[in-house]
Amino acid sequence: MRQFILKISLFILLYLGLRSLIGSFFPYYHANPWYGAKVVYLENLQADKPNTLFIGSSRIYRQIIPAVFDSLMTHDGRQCKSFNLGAPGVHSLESYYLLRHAIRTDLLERVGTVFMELGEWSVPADEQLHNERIGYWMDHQGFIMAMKFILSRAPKGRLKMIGDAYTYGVAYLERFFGLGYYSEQLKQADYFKVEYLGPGLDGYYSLENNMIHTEDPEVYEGLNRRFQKLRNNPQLIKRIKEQTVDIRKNIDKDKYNSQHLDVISDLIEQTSQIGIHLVFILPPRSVNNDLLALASKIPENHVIDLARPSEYKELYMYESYFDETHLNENGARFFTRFVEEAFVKLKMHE
Amino acid sequence: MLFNSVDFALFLPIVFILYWVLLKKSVYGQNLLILTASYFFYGVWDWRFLILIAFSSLVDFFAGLLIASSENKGKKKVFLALSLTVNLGLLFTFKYFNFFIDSFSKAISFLGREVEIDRLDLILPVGISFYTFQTLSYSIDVYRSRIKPERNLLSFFTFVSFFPQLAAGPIERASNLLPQFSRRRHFSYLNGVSGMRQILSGLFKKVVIADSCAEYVNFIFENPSDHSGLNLILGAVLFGFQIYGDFSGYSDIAIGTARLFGFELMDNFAFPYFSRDIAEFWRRWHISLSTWFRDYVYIPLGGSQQGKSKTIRNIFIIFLVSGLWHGANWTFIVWGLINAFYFLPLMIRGKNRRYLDKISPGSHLPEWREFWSILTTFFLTSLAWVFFRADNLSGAVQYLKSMVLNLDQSPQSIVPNLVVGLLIIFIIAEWFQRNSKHLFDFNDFRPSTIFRWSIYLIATILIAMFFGKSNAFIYFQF
Repeated sequence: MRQFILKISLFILLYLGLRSLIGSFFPYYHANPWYGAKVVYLENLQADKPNTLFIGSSRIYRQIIPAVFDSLMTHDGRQCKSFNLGAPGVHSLESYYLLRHAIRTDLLERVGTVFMELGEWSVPADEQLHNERIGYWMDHQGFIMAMKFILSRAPKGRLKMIGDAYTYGVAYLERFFGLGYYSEQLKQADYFKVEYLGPGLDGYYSLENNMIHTEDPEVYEGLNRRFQKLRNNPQLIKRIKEQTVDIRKNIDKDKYNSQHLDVISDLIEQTSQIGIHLVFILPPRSVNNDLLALASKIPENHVIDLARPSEYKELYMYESYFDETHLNENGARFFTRFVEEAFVKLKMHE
Repeated sequence: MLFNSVDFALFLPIVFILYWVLLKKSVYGQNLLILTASYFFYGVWDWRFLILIAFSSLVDFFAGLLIASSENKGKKKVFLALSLTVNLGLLFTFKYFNFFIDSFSKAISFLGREVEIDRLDLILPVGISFYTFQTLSYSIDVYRSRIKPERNLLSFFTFVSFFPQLAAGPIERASNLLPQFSRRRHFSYLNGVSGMRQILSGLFKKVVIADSCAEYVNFIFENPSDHSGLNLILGAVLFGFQIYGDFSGYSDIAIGTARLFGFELMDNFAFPYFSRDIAEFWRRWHISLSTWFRDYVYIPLGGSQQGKSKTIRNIFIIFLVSGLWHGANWTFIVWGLINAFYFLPLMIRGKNRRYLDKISPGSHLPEWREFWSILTTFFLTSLAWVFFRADNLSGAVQYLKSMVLNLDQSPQSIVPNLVVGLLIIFIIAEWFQRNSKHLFDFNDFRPSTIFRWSIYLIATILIAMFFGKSNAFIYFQF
């Protein structure tokens, strides 16, 4: 028995060695083809590298137009070359993972400002978790963050907490052992597709443009379904606006996840050490008390809160939306403009 | 719980350690642990159906005792009938009721009348066809006095629910498996290693081969008319590999896992795609089911001993029930009938036992004649698989029609080179191992440790890479 267990253990060790050797050939963003395509593009740029980056989910990818941002900045007397690194389906913990790793690379060498979407500290649902795209960010640090979140979540029953902890433990093991990792990249020669960069190659790709130009019928159907849903229920945006106004009226500023704030503070600290100004953006969206309270706790020069229907009316108009959660190109122009204006104000206060 | 899951990778070593370290001196303790683990293994999927397994076990346990203790043959028959009725009744209710209702309604409406019978809204319990056949064989064998009834309730319950083969076989005979639960088991290093190798072989077939093929098979079968004839042929061939990798992979993992606990299960696959005719294919494919039908249906019907017409009838019956066993759908029945038509000419000409020997013994390559026979058999089985895979009969016919009509279209590139390469390597490896027990059985030739460990490591890396691309085993639905 001892010999058997020893040999199995030796085999596992050899496997882990080989697994990490293979893993070292793949970049840290290997499972996010959108982000990956953009980083590869930036790495290959010979000149005119960006000094400003936007990181986040589709709320960044589909809503920030670097060309608009740059021209407004230039108009305000600040030289700027920005790039949208947003990617669909990216949640906060993944964004933080991407930034943590980007800090260690040359990607941020010329960058002075990083805008990052401020989102809830939510974790992906169990049924989505067990694939490379959703779970790859769960390195040791990411796993600890996820576990902290699960353990600190408002009590939903101990059984649920144990279930979540087990699921995340399994997902961590899957990543640790590389289960389900790297095969897609090997199968698809064009895994990091250039089309993800958008027509202006600045990383922005509007949803309506994507819907019109996609050759994938499934992508078209999915986008069109979302587009039509809003056309059939124009009241959806009004409802989000009203909810946000209500929550803002009764906000409890002490009710937020302090661990999330710790992570944000740590990122601000890490980026400032390499001379980068990290700014969190709270985009127009359906918000909750925790998220608004969290935004209010981030140091003022590191946060832009645009989830304010009374101040940013254009961001809560039906006409500005592609679907119920994303702005169309028109809305994106407003959003980009408001980000730029808020950023200039931040800079003037500094 | 799936074999190809992290859950199972955590479950197995825990049970293994408890079994061999904590309970190594107690057969009772080990059986109790296996029973608990088996019910947990199954209950993770849906605990409600544990009641069904427990009920079926209880009925057959007492049926066995009553059959054996009855001196009157009539009484024996009554108790056997009770066991058959309960087991087949459960199987019929959960698996076939809706199928027969639908077919009956269609037949009636074809005659110009309408009839409305409510369908049952039931989930098909995983593995019901497997454990039902296993317990049936027990009752029949006790009735035939081939085995003595089991008097230990724990052993019997463990025999019915033994987790390695509970969900998808091999369908064990009581005469082979049941006595192993009464015997004292000792851990042997060689058995442990052999078990692990077979598990590795099974995982490789399931995760790397079957699941890789599944992606493209689904794509091609979804809209057959959109594909060229050559792509449709490729789809049928890939499905052949998918179902083989899936099912023989499951069997390998089951046999390997059982061996880790000191149990020997029967072989279920013997490199069937190197068969030189259909008769040989059926001796190498799903052996535990083929032999079950042979022993409990074909031979009791008279087998081939009662003239040609009865032999033909018997062959049709076993292929028909074999098709029906796989699923409550006409596609499976037609698949069974096609195989009966493939098999019949061999039977009539007395050539069905032509290939009982090893394939190309002592040679690296097959002879041309042998190669041609293998290729023809593979082509015929692939054609039949179209019915097995299609959702309905018209879908299968449409697929075959498009296969012919679209032959002039130029084929699209669907399968990545990586997958094609892996399939080719798999076929070559299978060919070299064709006369062994499984893909990683190196007992016949003793390669160096470095060679063996390199093969295991490469296989494990590939399993890890392709892990989780698809989900459950196809044969779970049967």
